[in-house]
Amino acid sequence: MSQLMRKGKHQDLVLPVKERSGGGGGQLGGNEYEGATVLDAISGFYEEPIATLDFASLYPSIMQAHNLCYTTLVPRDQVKNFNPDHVATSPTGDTFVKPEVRKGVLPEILTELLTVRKRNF
Amino acid sequence: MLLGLQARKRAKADLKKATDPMQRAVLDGRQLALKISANSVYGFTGATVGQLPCLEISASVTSYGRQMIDHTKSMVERHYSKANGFSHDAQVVYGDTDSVFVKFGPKDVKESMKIGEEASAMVTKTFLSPIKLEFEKVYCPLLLITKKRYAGLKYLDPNVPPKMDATGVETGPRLASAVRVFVLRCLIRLCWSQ
Repeated sequence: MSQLMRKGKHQDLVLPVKERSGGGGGQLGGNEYEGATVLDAISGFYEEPIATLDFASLYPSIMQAHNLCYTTLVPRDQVKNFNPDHVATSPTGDTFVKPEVRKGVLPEILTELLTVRKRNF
Repeated sequence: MLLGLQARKRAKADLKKATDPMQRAVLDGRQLALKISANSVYGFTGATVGQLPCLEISASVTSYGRQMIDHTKSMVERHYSKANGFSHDAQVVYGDTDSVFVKFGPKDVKESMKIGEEASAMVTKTFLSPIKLEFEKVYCPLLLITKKRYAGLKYLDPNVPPKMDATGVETGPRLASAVRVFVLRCLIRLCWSQ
C-alpha cells in the first residue's frame, strides 16, 4: 500500500479510500474468481526421467507482461472508445491498455522489486 | 524498503563485498523479502477485505496463468512427437499452477535435461517478456500418486547423485495416521531399491 502511495504521487494520482467490508462477515460470497489450474495427474511409477518446467515468478511476470494495474484497466463500457491496437483483453474479458500507451503502477513496482532482487543476488 | 536509485546502488555495492557468511545471510534475506513482496502484489489485488481490491486484475492474472499452463502442455506435446521426427511422443503427466512435469521419453537423465532446456526456451519465446519458463530438475524415478502428492529422486545436475524429494507424501495432511505414513515411507524406499 505504501508503495502504491509513493508511486502514485509521482504520477499525481490519489488513492480512493475504500470502506472495509469487514466486521464478522468473513470472505464475501458470490464474487469469487477461479484460481490456478492443476492439471490432472496421470498416476504411476515412472522409471524414465521426468523433467519439470517452471514459470519463474509466474504471477508478477504476468502482471508485468500484460500491464495489469488499477491505472490501466479499461471499464467494459468504454472499451469501444479505444484503438484495438492499444489494448489487450485477458481471458476473463477484462481489458487493459498496453505498456507502450501507459505503463501501470503495479507493473512498475514489480519491475523495481525484481530488478533490485536480481542485482542483489 | 526504499527502492530509489540510491538503494539500488547500495545493494550492488553490498554484494561485491559480501564475503562473510553473516553478510551473505542478510543479503539472502533481503532478496527473499523482495521476492515475497513481489508475489504479494497479486494477493493484494485479490483481497476482497483488503484496502484496494480489484478482482479484474487478480482474476485476469490467474486466467492468463491457466491459459499459459494449457498452452505449454499442448505446445510441448505437439512439438516433441513422433510425427515431428522425435523418438518418442512427449507426455505431460502433471502440472500445478506454475509448473509442468514432462516425460520426454529418452531414458538418459542428461538427455532429458538437454531437451528440458530446449523446450523451456522454445515455449518462453511464445510469451511476452518478462514471462519465462525455466527447466528446473529431473525426477528419475518418479512416483506420482495424485495431485500434489509425489516422490522421486531429484537430479539438478546429471553428474551429482540425486536426492530423495517427496511432496505431500510423508508430510501429507497432518491427520494422516502414523501407520499410513510408515507404510508409505517403506513403499517409497522399496521402489527405489528395485
